[in-house]
Amino acid sequence: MINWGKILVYMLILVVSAFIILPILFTIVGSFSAYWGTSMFSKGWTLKWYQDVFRYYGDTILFTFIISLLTVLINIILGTMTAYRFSQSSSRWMKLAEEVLTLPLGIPGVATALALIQTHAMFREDGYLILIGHIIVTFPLMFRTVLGTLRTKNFKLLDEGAASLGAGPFYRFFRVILPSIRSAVLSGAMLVFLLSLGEFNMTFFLYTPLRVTLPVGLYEAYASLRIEIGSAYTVIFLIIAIPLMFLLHKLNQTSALTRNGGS
Amino acid sequence: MRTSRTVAFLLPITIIFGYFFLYPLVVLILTSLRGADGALTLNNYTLMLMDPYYFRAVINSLLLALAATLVSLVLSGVLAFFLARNEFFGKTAYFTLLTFPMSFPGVVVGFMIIILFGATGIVPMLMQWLTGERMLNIAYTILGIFLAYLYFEIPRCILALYGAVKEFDRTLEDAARSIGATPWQAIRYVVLPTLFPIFLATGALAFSTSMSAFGTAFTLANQFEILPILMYNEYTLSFKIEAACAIAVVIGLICVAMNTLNRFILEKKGR
Repeated sequence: MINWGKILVYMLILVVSAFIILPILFTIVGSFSAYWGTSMFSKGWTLKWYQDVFRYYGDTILFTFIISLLTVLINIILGTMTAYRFSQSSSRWMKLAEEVLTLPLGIPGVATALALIQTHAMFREDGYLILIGHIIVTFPLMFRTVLGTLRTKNFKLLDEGAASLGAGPFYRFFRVILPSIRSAVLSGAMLVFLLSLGEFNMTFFLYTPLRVTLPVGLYEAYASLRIEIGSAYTVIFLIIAIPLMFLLHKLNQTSALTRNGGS
Repeated sequence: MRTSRTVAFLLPITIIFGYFFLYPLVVLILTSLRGADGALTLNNYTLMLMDPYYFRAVINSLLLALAATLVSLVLSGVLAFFLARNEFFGKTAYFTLLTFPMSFPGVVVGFMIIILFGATGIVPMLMQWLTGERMLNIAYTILGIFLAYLYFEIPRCILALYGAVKEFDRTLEDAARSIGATPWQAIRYVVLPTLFPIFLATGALAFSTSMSAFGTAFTLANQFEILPILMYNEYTLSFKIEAACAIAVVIGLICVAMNTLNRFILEKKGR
């Protein structure tokens, strides 16, 4: 007897997997193909598209790195400081403040962007507004990751122990707390970097033509250039993102990304 | 006494969030309540229900988000079950690949649909090879946008459901099987009702992601009428700032409500 139900389920799994994975593979293969056609390599393979990407969009890659790294750096400082203070008390006001600080995760990027552009358009030049926006929307990821760790382990005891030995708040923060939450900070940093690297919805409102990030550059390339160049440019994004995503999987931290509404 | 000294730790974030987040949000809400003459009004909101042009975008957004959420939940549910209940070589790599698109910006999701269903995409080329005719060239239609929504929803839903399915207490299912239930009956009457809250929570998150999606649809059809694109066009092309702000507030409220629902369900379950 043939089990049609089972066959149907396996077909479904196959189709969905192909739907998700095949375009990624084709993007990688197509980026090396001299001509994207029915037979991918009928005209041989080439690195020309990558040269084109670096010539036209090299500065977007550099600019994105600067924005993402600065965002990570600033949020490491802001996130750990804030989480440290929040881990010390659990009053009703602090609960409310915690909700406010996680709000940027829930509010759509386009709405945050429209709000920012109205009040802070003067920071738009040189890309400062992009940096500010990225810091705001990625802050909750760092904050929650670090706060989660501080709450699960017995940090309060550690902190109070150090305090009873006469350590001041800054000494305790830098010498006692920070070294022991290194892995949480690292996970948070990777999440922040990944989110900042791929941020488009908000950045598209905030950028100026002189300072373009990688995703905005991708949009331009898709709209105006050959599919091969679009593929090569996408592969550069993938090369940066894949190792981070893989590490986050290993650390079981990817679930934080399901909250990211940045599509 | 001791903790009061560390209040200084909250000073930087208070200034940054206050000036760069809360203050802009308040201005956004106030602008959405402003009429053309500067007076306080709810016109920008009633317009979204009365004006057919705006109303169409509201309906499009809601229907698209609802359809994408329901279909993704079904498909991801099947995959989550498969992944949670089978061990095979290369599972980690397969799982990583399936959930990897979570990190894609919307524009890349749009591009993936162009690779699949564009003029020289995989599926039309395959159809040409099979039938001699280039078919299913649907990337730039509403069907393409719907598929793009599925593309970013499915990885998120798989990940959200996977953990719950894996943790599910199988003794319940085994008990149902031992009294004669078929595997399908056990899933239908025992597993799914227990997992219903997780599906609901995941669906709320997926709905919120779909409602706020901008880059994905914008890459495929930048004139297509959904709320985020309408908001962009009202702001940059028509200079109707008040209307754009009202749209932003509406999308924002829907998304915050959905996120709150998601967390409420998960926290209630965790207790």
